[in-house]
Amino acid sequence: MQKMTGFKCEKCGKMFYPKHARCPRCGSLELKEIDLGNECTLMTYTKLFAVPEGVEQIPLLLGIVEFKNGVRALGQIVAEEVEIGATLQPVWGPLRKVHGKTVSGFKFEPVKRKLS
Amino acid sequence: MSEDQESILRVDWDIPRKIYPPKVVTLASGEKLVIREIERGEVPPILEAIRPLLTVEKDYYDIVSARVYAELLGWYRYRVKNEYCLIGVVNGELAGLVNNRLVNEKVCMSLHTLALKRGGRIGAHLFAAKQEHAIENYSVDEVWVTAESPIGFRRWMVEWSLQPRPDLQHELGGVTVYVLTKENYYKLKPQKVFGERPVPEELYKESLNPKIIIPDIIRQQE
Amino acid sequence: MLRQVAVIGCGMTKFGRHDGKTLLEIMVEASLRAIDDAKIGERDVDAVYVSTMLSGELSNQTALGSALVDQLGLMPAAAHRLENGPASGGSAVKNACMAVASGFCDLVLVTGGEKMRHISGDRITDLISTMVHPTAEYVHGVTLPALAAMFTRLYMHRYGLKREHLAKVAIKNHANALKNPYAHIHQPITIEGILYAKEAEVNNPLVADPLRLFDCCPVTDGAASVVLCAAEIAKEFCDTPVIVAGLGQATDTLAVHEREDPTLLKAVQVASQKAFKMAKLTPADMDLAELHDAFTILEIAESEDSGFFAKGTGHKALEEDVTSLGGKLPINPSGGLKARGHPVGATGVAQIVELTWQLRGEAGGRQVQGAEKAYCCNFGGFGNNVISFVLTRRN
Repeated sequence: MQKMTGFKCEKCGKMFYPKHARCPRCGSLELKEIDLGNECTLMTYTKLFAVPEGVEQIPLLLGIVEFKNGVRALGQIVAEEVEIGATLQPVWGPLRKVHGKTVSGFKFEPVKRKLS
Repeated sequence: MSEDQESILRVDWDIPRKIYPPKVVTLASGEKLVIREIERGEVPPILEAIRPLLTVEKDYYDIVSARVYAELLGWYRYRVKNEYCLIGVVNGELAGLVNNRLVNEKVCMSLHTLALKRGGRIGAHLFAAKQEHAIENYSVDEVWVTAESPIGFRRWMVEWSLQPRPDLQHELGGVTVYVLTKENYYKLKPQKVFGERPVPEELYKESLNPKIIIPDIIRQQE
Repeated sequence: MLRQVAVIGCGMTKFGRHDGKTLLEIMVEASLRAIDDAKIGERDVDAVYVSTMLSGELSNQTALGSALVDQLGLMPAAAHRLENGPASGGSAVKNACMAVASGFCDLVLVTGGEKMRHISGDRITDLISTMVHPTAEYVHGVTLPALAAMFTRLYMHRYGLKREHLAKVAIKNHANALKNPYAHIHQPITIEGILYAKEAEVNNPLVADPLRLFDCCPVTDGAASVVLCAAEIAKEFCDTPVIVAGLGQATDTLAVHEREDPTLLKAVQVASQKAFKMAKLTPADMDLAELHDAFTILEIAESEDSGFFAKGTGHKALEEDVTSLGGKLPINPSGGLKARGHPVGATGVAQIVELTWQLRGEAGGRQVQGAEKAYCCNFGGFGNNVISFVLTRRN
């Protein structure tokens, strides 16, 4: 299974997503790919009704999540309803069409807690 | 035309006619939109209102208005059966109209939606009202809808999430029929169908002989 | 700046829908009005700056600078087309100011325009969203309204902003636009009709929850144009030149989620601070402001981050009518992007046009009485590229 990754500056330790050519804090070129983990928290979201050409799902649920290491990402949310603060996990899947071709990437789905 | 044909056509309604109870809708501007059904005898002034649009190519106004013109004229002169027309009146002015035709007691053919005043979602309220009439008052199982313009397609097929039914044939052109089922209608009703009844007497009176306006699409071109 | 720059002429087309005219034709119309207004006669224009975001994609024409000088017979003037997303107009004005301030040019023309209404809604939405981060935002189906909606939800969560506040921005700007003959939308709206009535669900449908139709600017065709010159020669052309007293530009992260505080429009903050510093003025000195209200929330957020109100209190000022016409700081007397319309490449130029009219006392029914100092903010991307101006009237 693919893991969602971010980047860490080897020089100053800044972690970020997506990739930049240089570290956004210190400008270093020494960047290392890091695992962002399997759990993130929903910071804000929207249900998009006026979707762009290339998106078929109406409404499209989009949100910004924060991983435990503080790195944030934006993505689609695979759920009918969500709330700020919900715990989500990244999952790989098709996102939309660009110039007629399907593009895939990470989306976020609610974590199903196992009953122990 | 044979006498038989003529006698069939001469019967305006061959299924029990239901009258649409008028309602009033609040628009974004705060203005009141009165929606009521017209009688056959009211058709001539409505035709006058439509006539200037017959040559307006923009946004397919020519196609839609020519079709509505023919449909209403057909109804008026007993060439089209079981047709109904609702009008929308704002400040005593004719703001838009919609029409449908009952094919039988189970199926209603959605005809046209024509907005004379634009930008106020008047078409959306009128479209909802004519389907309300078909499903709630005539109790049909489904309404067959098609679109002759991209705006129409977006408004009705997408916003009402209608299902395509390529096996059916609409009375207009040859594009795919989309079906609004009774079930789908009641599901969408809370978000789509609004209006208060009864209409206050003063407002209702204002809607009886609506003033014919220069349609926005023509005004904007000048 | 090395030497001061003055606005000596301005013109616009009506904003709205221009079927049957090309983008170049509407740009010519706005330019001719500005040139006429500037009364430059036979004087040579040294350079032309044209701003447009999507002329290639929507109008099948690029290098519009060359096309415009050719139409206007301004050869051999230098010509440019400038694309900087929704801040294209501000960028063009800024670069024109630089050209004059440096002494490289004396007289320049800036024209911004866009024709976008002939394209379907989902296509234009997609084309505009090509300005967001390609891999971290665009591919996920993000649109500008979606970013604005997520921003709004966070704002509501944090600062107690309510739907009523957003609606009030729209109602105010629609009312202002009724007094602006150039505005796209001439439609009064009421809180009852767009929010409280049950019918509001149809009248004002959701675009990107919590933002609704009337929270978003319309898709508009239009062009706007200004003539700038060195302030030292401005009196040759007009009695009341308007001076570009200050300008500032700043950028922020392309992806919105990377901002430390995603509710803070840092580029607006920095650009406005630079502009006020250059003008040696403060936000409190301003008599009016034109802000980039592509979404109602942006007028509130920009009113704070430009320095007019403390963070999280912009909606209170709105509530108290401080920002209405007749208030202490009228915001968007033109109707703003919300109701004047937002032909993307024209907007930044149209803001300068409105400020100039206001400072000359030529704004008709929406005139801010006695206006002498004014501010505008042209907001690119979702706040990643912002240009602010401070304009003053010289008597």
